[in-house]
Amino acid sequence: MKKKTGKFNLILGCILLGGIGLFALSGLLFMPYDPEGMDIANKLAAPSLAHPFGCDNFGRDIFSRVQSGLLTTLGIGISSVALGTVLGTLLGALMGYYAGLIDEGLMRIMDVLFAIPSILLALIFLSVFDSSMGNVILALGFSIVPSFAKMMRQEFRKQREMEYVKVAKLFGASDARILFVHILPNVMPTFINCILISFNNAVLAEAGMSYLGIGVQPPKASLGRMLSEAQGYLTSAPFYTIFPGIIMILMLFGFCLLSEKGSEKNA
Amino acid sequence: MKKSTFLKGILLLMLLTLTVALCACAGDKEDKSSSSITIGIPQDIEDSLDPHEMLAAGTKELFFNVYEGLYKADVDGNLVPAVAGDVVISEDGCTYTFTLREGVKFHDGTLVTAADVEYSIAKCADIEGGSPNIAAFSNIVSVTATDDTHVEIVLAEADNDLLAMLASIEAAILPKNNATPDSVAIGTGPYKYVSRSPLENIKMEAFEEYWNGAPEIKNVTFKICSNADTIAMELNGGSIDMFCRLTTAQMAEINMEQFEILEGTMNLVQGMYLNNDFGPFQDVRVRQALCHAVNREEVLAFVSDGKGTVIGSSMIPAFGKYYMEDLNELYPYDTQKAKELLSEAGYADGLTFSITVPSNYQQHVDTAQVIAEQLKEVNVTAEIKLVDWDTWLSETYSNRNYEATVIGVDAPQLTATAFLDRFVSTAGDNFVNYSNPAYDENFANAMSTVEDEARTEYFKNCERLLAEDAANVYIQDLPEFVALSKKYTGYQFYPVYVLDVSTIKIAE
Repeated sequence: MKKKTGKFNLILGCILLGGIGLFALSGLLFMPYDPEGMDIANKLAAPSLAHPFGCDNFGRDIFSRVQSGLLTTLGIGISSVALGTVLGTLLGALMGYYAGLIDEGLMRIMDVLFAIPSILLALIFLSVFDSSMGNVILALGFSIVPSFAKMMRQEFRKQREMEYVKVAKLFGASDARILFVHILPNVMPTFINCILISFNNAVLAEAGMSYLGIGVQPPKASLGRMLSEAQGYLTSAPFYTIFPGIIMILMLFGFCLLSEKGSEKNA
Repeated sequence: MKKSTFLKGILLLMLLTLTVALCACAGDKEDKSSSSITIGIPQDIEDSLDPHEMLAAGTKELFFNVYEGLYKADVDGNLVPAVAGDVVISEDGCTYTFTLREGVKFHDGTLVTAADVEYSIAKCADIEGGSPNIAAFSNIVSVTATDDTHVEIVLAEADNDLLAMLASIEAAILPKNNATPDSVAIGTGPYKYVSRSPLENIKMEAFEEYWNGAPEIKNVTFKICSNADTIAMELNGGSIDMFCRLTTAQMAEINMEQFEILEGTMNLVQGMYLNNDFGPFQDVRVRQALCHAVNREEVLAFVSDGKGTVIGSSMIPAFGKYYMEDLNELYPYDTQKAKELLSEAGYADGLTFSITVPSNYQQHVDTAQVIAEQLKEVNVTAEIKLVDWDTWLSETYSNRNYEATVIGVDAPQLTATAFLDRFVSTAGDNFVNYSNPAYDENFANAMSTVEDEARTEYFKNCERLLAEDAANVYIQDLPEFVALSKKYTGYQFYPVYVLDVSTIKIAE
C-alpha cells in the first residue's frame, strides 16, 4: 500500500515538474508577447484567446510574464541551490570526515547562522548590499549552506566508520578521493533530498522577498513579484493573481512529492 | 467511526479559530468610540518632532494638526490669522507688528506670550547662526517682543511672501520653555501629539482648549500602512477609516457602500528628478532627450486612469498666477528628436541609468515602470531600484546619492518660493544639484522685488529656465483620491500639502 502511494507520488511529481519545466522551456523558445511591453488598450484585460491569462495593470500579457517570471524564479532557485550545495557539501564533508577541531569550530559557526532564520539572513544581506539578481542568488545560496552542511555532516560522519572507507584508506586513497569518489555516491539519497528541499525553500524565499519588494526589481517578472503586484487587483482582476499562483503551487507541490519519495527510500 | 472523530476534531478546530477571530473583532470595535478615527498613512515618521527641522512632506502634513504659525493657510488658499490676531505692516513693507490673539494656549496649558513668538521666529530664522530653515528667512533682521502681546519683525527688504512663510509649519510657534522640541511636541494646533510606536502608528488627541474650538473627533490614530497593496483590504476590513492619495487601482477595490471617494489634486510636482551632477545628466541635451522620450499623457493613462494634470515645470495649476501652461508644450513626445539629441550628446549607442523609487508610493513605482518602458524606445535603459522610505530620505534626498528618482515635491507654503527656492544652486534642499547662475539671479531678483507683477515675472523666468534646462522630467500634478468612511464627513482639500483632521465630523 505504502509502496504504491510512493510510486504514485513519484510519478505525479515527475509529471508536474515535467510540465512546469516544459512551460519554462517554452518561454526560452517562444513568448507570445514581450513580457515588459506595455499596452494601454489592454489594461487589466480579462483572459481571452489573444491573451490566455489576461493582461496586467500595464497591459502586459500575463502569460508571457508568467513564462519569463518562471524562468527568473527557476534561474534564481537553481543557481542559489547550486551555490548552497557546493559550499554545504564541502563544509559538511570536512566537518563529518575530519571531526575534531575543524568540526567543532565550523559547527559553532553553523549553529550561530542556524539560529537566524534563513530568510532574515537573506534580508539583511540584501539591505546591506544592493538588491540585484546576483545578490539575491548569493543571499539565498548562503542561507542554504548551514542546513545543508549540517545534514551532510551527519551522513559523512556515519560513513566514516564504514568498512569500505577504512579499506580505501588502507589502499592509500587520498582524502579528497575518499570524500568525493567513495563516500559521496553512498550518501546520494540524502544529498538529493537536501537539494530538493533547498530548492523548494529557495523558490519560496525568492517569492517571499520579491513579494516584500526586495529581490527582483520591476519591471522584471518573477512569480513572487507578480503575486505582490497582483494583490492590489485581487477583486477587480483575480486572474492576475490566480495564474502565477497556480504555477507556483504546482511547482512546489511537484518538488514536495519528489522529496517525499526520496525520504521514504532513505528510511 | 474514525472518520467521525476526525470530523469532530476539524469542527472543534474551526470553532476555536472562529472564537479567537471573533474575540479579536470585538476588541477592535470596543476600542473605537464614536469620536475616534483611524487614518492610514503610507510611511512612518522617521523625522524630528521639531517643526522647524522636519524634512518629509509626510511628517509635515500630519503635524499641521499639532503646530500653527502666526498665520495659517485655509481651504481656499488664503492666509488667515492663527496665533496672531492681527498684523500692521509699515509703509515701506519692512516692519511687521503682530498683535497676538487673546487666549491662545499651548498643549501644556500655558498661554502663548510674545516671548514664545520671539523665541520661535528667532529659532527658525536662526538670526544669529545665519542658517534659516527657509531661505527667505535670511531676510529677517530682528524679531522683538515689544510687550506681552506684540511682536515686531523687521526685514532687510520688503517681502510680500512673509505672511505665507510664517504660515508654514517651518515657522510654527513653540513654547520657549520646551528644551527638547525634537522629541517633545508642544504646539498650539487643534490636536495634541500623544505617542508614536515605530512602524505602527502615531496617536493624537483633541486639544480641548484650542482657540478656535475643540475639534469634534477626539482621538486620531495614524496607522502606518506601508504596503501599498493591502490598503484597500485594510479599508474594507475596517482597520482604517480613511486613506489619502489612493491610486485608481486601489480605488477600484474599495467597497463603495462603506466609503466615499473624494477627488482633489495632491498639489505635488511629480516628476522624474534627475541628479544633474550624474555623468550623462550633466549634458542638457541628455536631459532634454529624456523629456522628449517620456510620453506624459500615456503615463497619466496608466497611472491615474487619465486623471491628473500634465505639468511642464516646478509649479502646479493651483498656484494660479505663477503657473505657466505653455511650458507643458515645451517637450512634446517625440522619440526621433530624443534620439537626435542623444546622439548629439554622444549617447547614440544608448545610455543606462537607475531610477530610485520609494517602494511605499505605488504611484511613483508605477510611473517609474512606465517611464522605463518608454525610454526603451530611444535606446535608454532605466533600471528601477526600489528602496524603503527611510533609505530614500537619507540616501537619495539628503545625501544626493542617486541617478534619477521618481517622486512628488510639495509646497510647504502658499508661495511660488516654496516650489522654486530649492533649485537655487546653493540651497540645502537642492537634491537634484541643479545649478544655473541665471536661475540664481532671477530668483534673487524675485526675492528683492516688492512690486508684485515684476516679482511674478522673475518667478516665471525661473520656471522657464527649469523647463528649458530640463532640470527634471516634469510629469504631472497627481489627482488625489481620498477614501473616507461614510461614518465621517467634512474632509477638505487644501492647496498645500496638509491633512487637516479638525474639519472631519461624525456623519449624522
